[in-house]
Amino acid sequence: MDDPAEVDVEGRRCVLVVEDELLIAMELTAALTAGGFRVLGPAASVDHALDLVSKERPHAAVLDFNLVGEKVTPVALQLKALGVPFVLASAVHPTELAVHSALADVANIGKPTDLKRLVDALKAFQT
Amino acid sequence: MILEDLYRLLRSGHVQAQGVVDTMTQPIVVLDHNLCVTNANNAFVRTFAVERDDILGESFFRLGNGQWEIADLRHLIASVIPKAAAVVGFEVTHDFPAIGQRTFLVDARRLVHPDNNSTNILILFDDVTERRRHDAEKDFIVAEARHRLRNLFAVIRAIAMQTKTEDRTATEYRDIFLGRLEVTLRAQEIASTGETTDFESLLRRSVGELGVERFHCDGPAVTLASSKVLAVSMIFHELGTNAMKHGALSVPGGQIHVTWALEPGPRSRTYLICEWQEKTGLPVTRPQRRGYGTELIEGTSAHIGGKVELKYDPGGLTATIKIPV
Repeated sequence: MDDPAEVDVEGRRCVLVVEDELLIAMELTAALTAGGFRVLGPAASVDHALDLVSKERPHAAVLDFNLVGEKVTPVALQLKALGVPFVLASAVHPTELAVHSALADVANIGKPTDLKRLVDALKAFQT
Repeated sequence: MILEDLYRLLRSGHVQAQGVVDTMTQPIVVLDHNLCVTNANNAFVRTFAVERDDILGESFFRLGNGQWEIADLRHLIASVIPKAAAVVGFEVTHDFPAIGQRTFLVDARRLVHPDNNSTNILILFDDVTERRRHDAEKDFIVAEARHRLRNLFAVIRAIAMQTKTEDRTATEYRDIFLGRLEVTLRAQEIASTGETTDFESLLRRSVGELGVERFHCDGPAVTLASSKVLAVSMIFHELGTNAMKHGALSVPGGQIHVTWALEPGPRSRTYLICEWQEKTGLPVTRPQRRGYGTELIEGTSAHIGGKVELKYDPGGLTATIKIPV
């Protein structure tokens, strides 16, 4: 897992999407694909997301905070351990994020998500 | 004679004062200039679970093993009161051994006796613990409602964005959009109750009233977790809509047969294997364009860890849906 993430044959970088809401996950996937990324997931749960990153290390990630009955924090911790940069796309209140040290300094693009801003933020990780 | 009148006057004054203090529903305690208790009303005795005889004459800050030794309160009584004469609504939160954590708004007033300049301090407690808890709960509910509203708006936008506009009139777009919106809202309503749902009734509801006589279901009772309701509703809504527009329900005499069974799968999970079979009696061609309908069906199944295979057989579409339950 220490290998840096690899671009695919088409030169696309890989972005992990963690979002439990079906239609929003599909919207994010469509936007990221149009933005030139390859999507890992979408994962609807912490288990699913951890499963995916154990098989492939993404270049970056976009996470929702509240998944059905759980918080995304374990995924954030794992991404930090792997050195994978990520942003949040969540309607959660900043004060709730502040109590999770793994998320306190992470940009939250918000929800409903400004898709252009999201793609720009993920592209900024490349430089 | 004069002495007796004076005595009566004093006595009735005392009885009246005691009566006022005891009638108050909030706890009141009266301290002398040494901060020792000279009087306490019934509400005080009751609220703080103390015995009146144990507290009279005792130093307030030593009562009940020093449970009143609260820095804020000592500061209020020892330094603020001598200067301010009265303090209203001073908030104190403290963990009392006998009654647990409480929040009080404390009113304190200094009474100076005109004849000898001795002072009493009257302290009144307003227990706002419940009120504060209620406020916090209300704040939480408001924040949660706001969160859900934003989420719902994001969902609506996602449906609008992903309902393709190519080769569609505005009216067609609107109908498809509203159809999907309705399925989503109905599914969210079901899911928000957190209760499990019967698969067959969900299946029938997803397909709607149209073609009810040409729709045949057969399978064992299966209950779906609330988290699966939207995905399953959406899959069958799309299949039903497609059947109505291009498939079995678009031609006279066409039929839909849906059968399902439960099977054990990997990681000791149970899978629902469902087959949706359309019989049109007419040749069916695979759609030219992979529309959102197909993408939505496949994306939805993948989202809940399942998969769908669509087979365009001559004579009707067959969809095999496999989802963990």
